[in-house]
Amino acid sequence: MQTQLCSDVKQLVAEYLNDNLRGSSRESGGCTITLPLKTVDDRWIFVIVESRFDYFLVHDGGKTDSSLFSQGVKMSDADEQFNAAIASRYGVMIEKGRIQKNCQRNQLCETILAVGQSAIAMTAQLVSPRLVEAEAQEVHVRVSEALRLWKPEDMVIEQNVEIEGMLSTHTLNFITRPKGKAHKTAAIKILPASNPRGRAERYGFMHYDILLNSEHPERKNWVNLAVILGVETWSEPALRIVKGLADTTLEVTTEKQTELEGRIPKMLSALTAGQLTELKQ
Amino acid sequence: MEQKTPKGETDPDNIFDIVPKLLGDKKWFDVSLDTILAMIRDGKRVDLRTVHVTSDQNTGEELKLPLRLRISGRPPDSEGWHISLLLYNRRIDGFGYEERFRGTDGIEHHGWHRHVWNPNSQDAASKTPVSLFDGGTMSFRDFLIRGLKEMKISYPKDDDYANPTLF
Repeated sequence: MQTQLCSDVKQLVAEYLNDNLRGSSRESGGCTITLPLKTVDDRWIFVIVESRFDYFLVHDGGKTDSSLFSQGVKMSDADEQFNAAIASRYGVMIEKGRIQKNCQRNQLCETILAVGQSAIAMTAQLVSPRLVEAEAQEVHVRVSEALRLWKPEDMVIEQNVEIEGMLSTHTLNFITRPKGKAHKTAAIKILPASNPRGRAERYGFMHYDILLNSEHPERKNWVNLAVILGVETWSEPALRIVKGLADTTLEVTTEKQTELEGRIPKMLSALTAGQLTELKQ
Repeated sequence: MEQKTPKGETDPDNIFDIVPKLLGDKKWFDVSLDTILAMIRDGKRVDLRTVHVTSDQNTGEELKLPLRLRISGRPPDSEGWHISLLLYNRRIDGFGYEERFRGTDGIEHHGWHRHVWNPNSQDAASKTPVSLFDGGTMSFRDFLIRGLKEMKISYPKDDDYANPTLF
């Protein structure tokens, strides 16, 4: 019975794979093979095969790299190293953004699959928590852009500011300093989604250590904004620490992360004008 | 508990509600086509930025929106060519190629497509087939000229008018 089941399932899978394996001629030469496999961003994977003298060149036409870039992936050195490591594991390489390998006819099938599998694995970075730090950097850049557009004339914005506490040196993502007395100084810290409890406790230490530096009593008048990324992954105790210490928090879910810049101008205007009640509502 | 905006109303805090209006606006990137093509020929990805000034359709308030224009691909392999317009790092419009994709009409298609903004999901993951790039051999320059025109994106005619600090 089990043997019959296995046989039926195998037959079904074989039919599905066969139905979804497509091939078409390319105008510029060669053949495009569409595999019965999809990427993380729901694209059917295709691989291009070009015949060269006594070997075949198998590649993705730069589609994977280009597609990730077009969706807002930064393609930083870290991203490229990640992609190169994946390619290497599958025994292929990346040449000017193209996943590719030369092979003989007897290696053609496994090479086509290796290029396709590499392409699929690379799109994992669209959802990977591995890139949490890189993501935080990207958020830093985007917040910076939002602050630049928001910045009132009587404000100065500093980035990656090192602040001496009583016991240690801390880095704030941004400080907005007023030139006059119309606004308050705002300290902005971006908290990535990994290890929330540790980050919350570290935030708490930073908060008190900065305040305890007796050489800078003016810091007691600063207003603090904590930007919490991937808030859905934060535990209640971790959130309680940050919310209890920051004057206000900007909580962003992973899904809606791209909306955070839109919320910053209004929040900063209220925060630096000392309208905390409005923010708490 | 997150508050949902009732259907038909615009969330005042959601900047992406401006996208349909933004797509209809004429947009300007201060980099010439020749400069873009030179970067592509050098194997680089092109990432241009601009600040687009528009007005909120409900309040009339002036909005400054940071836009990015991303262009990538290798000239010999048209399958990998992409143009995309991003607002706050989210794709809101663009063109690309797929051997096989399901269009917004639910039918399976092949070839060039446009990424269509979906106000409900607030992304441009949906695809609709286009014939804009069909008909004969097309160069990367043709791809850019036709695509950017369709996206209402303008640029200086040559480098003398372009501002290199925007890279």
